Amino acid sequence: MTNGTGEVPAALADPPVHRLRHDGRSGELFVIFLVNLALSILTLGIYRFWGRTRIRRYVWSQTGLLGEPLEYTGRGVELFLGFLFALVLIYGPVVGLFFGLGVELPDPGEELGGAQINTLILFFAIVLLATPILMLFYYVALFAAYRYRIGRTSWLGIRGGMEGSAWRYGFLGLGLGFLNVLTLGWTKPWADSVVFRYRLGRTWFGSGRFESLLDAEGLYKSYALAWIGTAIAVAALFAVSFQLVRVIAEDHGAHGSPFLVQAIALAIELTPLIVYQLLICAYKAALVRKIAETLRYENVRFRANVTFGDVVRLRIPNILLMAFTLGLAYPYVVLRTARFIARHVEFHGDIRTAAIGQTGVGAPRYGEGLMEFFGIGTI
Amino acid sequence: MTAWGASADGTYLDGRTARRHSVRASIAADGLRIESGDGAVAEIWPFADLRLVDEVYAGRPVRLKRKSGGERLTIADAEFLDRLRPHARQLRRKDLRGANTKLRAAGWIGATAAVLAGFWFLLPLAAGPVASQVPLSWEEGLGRTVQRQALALMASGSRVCTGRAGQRAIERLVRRLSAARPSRYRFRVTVVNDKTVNAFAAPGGYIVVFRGLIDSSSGPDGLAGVMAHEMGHVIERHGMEGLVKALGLSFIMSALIGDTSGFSSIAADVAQNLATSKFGRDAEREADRIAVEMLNRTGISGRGFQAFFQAMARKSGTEDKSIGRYFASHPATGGRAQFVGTHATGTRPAMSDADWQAIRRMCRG
Repeated sequence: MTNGTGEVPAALADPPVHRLRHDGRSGELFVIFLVNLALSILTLGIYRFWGRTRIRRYVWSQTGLLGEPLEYTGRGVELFLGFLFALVLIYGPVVGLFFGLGVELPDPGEELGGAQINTLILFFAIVLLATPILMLFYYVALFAAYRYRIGRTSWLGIRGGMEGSAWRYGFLGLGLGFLNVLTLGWTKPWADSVVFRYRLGRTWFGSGRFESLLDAEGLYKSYALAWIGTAIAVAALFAVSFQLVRVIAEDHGAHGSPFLVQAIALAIELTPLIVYQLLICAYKAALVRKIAETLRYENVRFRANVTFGDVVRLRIPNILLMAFTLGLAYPYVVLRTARFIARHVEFHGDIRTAAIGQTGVGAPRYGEGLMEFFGIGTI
Repeated sequence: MTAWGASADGTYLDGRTARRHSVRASIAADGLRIESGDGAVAEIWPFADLRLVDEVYAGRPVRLKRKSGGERLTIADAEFLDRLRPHARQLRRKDLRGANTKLRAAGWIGATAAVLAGFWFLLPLAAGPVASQVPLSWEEGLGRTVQRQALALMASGSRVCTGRAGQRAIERLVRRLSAARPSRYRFRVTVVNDKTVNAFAAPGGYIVVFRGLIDSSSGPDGLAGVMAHEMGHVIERHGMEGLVKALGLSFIMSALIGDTSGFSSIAADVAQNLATSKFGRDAEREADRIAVEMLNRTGISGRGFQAFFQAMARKSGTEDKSIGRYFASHPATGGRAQFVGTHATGTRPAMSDADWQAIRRMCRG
């Protein structure tokens, strides 16, 4: 805005607001999905990496900003190799431990001899050891997956990029995960802010880096609601089900009616989960809003006007659609999510495209080492 | 413009900055010519190097790139592609504008269904030959796992019965039956303290007998018949075939869902199937035939076995749920009793009365 016609200075004018535009059509994506399905079956699942790539290409290409669509430049073979690598890395040690040491669970009903107790101790030691390792791998894979997608996404011919170490992120996630267990979940909002800040603050688009000032302030209210609500649901269900089991036991003898007992067990398992999934939507909405508000790229600011109701209307139908169609609604779920993002994410400010150069960060690393993207296939 | 006649307005990106250049793209003799008004862009992309960035659907812009390089050219007027295609036939593959989406979807649904149906019908046919190729050591390992899973699935109150005299008596019986029809299997019998009338055979010779079956049997001959029947399942590898089928199905399912972690639960599923239902009518008939053959060769009377089936046939008509399990999926128990009656020739008892009492007592203490 540098013309000399006495225009209002840019700083005082309302900055322009841009939105993503999504043009995906479920019919088109559904055909891609069906072709993938058929070829995946024919190739015993191996085609799915190429299939997933084709789906991403479609979704990316139907999403645009300033009239210019995104481009996904990843290739199926990269996902496939990443999957093979992750397979060896994750299953290798587990399989090796169990077969190499000849660990076997003792037969149920048998008396536990000294040797079997040793076997049991060894088994639990392996499980104890394997759990944090798998958790570490999970976070490493999460970072690697994010980095892969960012690095394989371009807009206006300019790539995204990530710096930072997947392993450092892995240990960060592992440490925060443990803390979360120790505090019965009360560090989650803070841990989420740390983890997202780490990832977002190391994300580049072209020659510019995103900045994140995310902290946990304002996130605790909605989280506490979900935590306490879930705790009440758990307590209430236990109280109710103990009563019910007693009544049934009195009616039907000691064994009770298996069907009723099973139904109650299912209700105990499911109800707190449903309550949690519903209430956590408020927290997720607050987190997304906060992430957007604290994110900046050069002179561009972000907003995500997402409410509790918005998140409920996105997530709950998504979960139900996938569950009740055995996954056949996947294309529709993907597109509703993409439309949701396009509808809610706002870019405030001039996007000075002429000033953005190609990504320098991490450029030689992309698409080369398998370490860059292992774990993609398992997510 | 040129002799080739076709040109269109477009946007050009050089892959170095995000700046967009307005360009005119025209079909020239040596390729696609791209020129901007300010002279910043002046390129010719050879036809053979042209690629579509993404699949082009009706009503969407056309995005072009070169075989290698970060430059991109977007042309809003998709009809330009029609004029470009004769020069660059490789562009046809990703041009889906004219594709009949519904027809394609129907075609692929049909193809997928045909493939699934093919698997569905071929799997049972292939399961037998595949199962017969499995080495004995694998089969025994799998059987051990399946048996363990099945025992773990049962009610927590039911324990393995450890009466030594009874266990020895059952093993003697199984050795005798096994000698009558030699096979590669070593049979291992576990008696479980559970009132259900049930018995099942896991692959590799692992047989589980429930106390309820022993209790409901009027004498050792009935037990001998059931044991021989279960041994018949092992010898004919019915459990192994079930595993192969389950593995094949789960392979298809994981291909459908895209999840490879499901394989670990197959043993549990098979165990559940073994414990709750049986193999199938033909498999049962085959096991009965082998059982009668074993009984005849050892001279053990088939009366008890026949009486067992008759008792089951009577009880299956009643509402008593405790007996239902073993024959739940096979209502033709009367016919099976008749088969045993007409073909069994033995007359001798299966074991001494002392042995039979030991077996009956093996779950106490």
